[in-house]
Amino acid sequence: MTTFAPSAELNFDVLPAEVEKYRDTIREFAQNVILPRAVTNDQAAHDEMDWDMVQQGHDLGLMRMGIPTQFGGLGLGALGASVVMEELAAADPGAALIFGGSGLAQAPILYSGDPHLQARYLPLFTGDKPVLACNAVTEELVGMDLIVPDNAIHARSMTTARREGDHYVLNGRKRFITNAPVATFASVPANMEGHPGSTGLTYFIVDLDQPGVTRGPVADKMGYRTALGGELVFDNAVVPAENVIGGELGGWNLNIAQSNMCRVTCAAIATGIARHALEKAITWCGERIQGGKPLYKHQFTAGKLARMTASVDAARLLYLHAANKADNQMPAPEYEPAVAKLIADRTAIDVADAAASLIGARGFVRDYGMEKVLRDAYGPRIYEGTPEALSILITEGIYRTEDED
Amino acid sequence: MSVFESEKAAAEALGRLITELWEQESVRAGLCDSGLTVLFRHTKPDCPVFLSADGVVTGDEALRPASHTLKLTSSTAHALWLGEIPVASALTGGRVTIFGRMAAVPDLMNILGPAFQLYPKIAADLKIAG
Repeated sequence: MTTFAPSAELNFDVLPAEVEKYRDTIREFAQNVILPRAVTNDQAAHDEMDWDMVQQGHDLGLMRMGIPTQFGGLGLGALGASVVMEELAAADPGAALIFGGSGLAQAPILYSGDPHLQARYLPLFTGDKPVLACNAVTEELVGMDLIVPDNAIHARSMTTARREGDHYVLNGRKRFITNAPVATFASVPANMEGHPGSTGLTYFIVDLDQPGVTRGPVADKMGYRTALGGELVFDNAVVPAENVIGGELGGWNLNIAQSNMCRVTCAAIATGIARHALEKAITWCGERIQGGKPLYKHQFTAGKLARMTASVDAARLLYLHAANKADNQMPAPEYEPAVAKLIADRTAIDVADAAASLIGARGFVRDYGMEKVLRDAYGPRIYEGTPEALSILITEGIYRTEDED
Repeated sequence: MSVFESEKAAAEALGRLITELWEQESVRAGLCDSGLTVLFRHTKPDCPVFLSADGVVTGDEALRPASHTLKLTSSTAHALWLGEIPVASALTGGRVTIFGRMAAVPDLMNILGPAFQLYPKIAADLKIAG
């Protein structure tokens, strides 16, 4: 794409000073607070929440990273949020998801540009106590049908909304929603009655402690167990008209815009998981002596470590590139974040698999934490676009002509 | 089909809008203080307009590096400045794409704000149908 705007200076070795400083703060928090309790949190009951950790993260500003400074936030862009997500995920991606999930709920409000919604909901994240939120998109029969625009007409059994005077009435069920069991409010896309599939998509802010809203059971997940996921059921839930985000029928635009933006941070989370696995492998292969020399001196092991390192570096460069694009283009581009996520998702799985292989029996025993990393590695390829969905978006980007932009 | 029949017609309206915008003291001060420059890359028909604290440039000369580039069709610009499409939905829907440092976009939109008051008068004066 041709643009006459000067491209931002690209230096992936030197982050902006304020980003680097905050990254270092979060790295310390992640390594000293999150990591030591990661295995314990993983093995706790699936409906337990480490509120102490959440509070400490909140105190450091993790709930308000992306909120503009005029609303009391840190005003971090995609680059800042991404490097922070890598740090959190390198300790425990479940922790990254708790804070990231709340940010995801803020995104439609930020994108809407609605000063009233922004003034009402964004300050919630700047108080003394942590407030969690969620972006409730996925449903039993609807996932990719809310990511690929051509699928909209085929969406089935969507949560519905109908206007009644000065309010809307929502009915339906959202599933697999991060933070749903503990969120104060949710950003909810629902389909306006009378519109086929999901073609009438409209976004609402829904307070979750109100009549007509029920929280379903907490999901017992394979990974990311530090974050709680679950269901939200809307049974004639009444939502005031002023809680519509981006206007009636504006849901698709919002959904696409925020998905493109947040795939950058998803790629960073996957990179963090891969980095964690790599770090474990490097430590082990440096200490473990076999055949009279450390494992990394053995050629076959060296080959694995080299490929793992190169893969993590490549994943990081791709997400930094995508973040730079997202910080310099509105709406955020579709192509670069999708490419970054596609590669990072695979990298997390491949590097975790290789690390588990190198570490051997200790990689198979729960107390060492490696098998947790292995389980967590399968998470990123599910949310915000599976490899299959991303491949469609990327391919469409390849064939899209300038005239269609 | 475009609101404007020709590049000349687009320039008469949109070029005049940006020029009248620049003539406002608050706009020049805002651009000067922020160091922001804007290339309005109107298309269909093409009508590039460059805006800086130093003045306004139209035509091919306008195609120069700017801190921010707004890419939109001339018809979208017409509807946008008339207030017929909300800025937020124009952005999320991709009808307007902004290139440049996103952190500066709120300041930029504040600077460009008077265009919403100026353009309806220009469109009425030129008898441009929507």
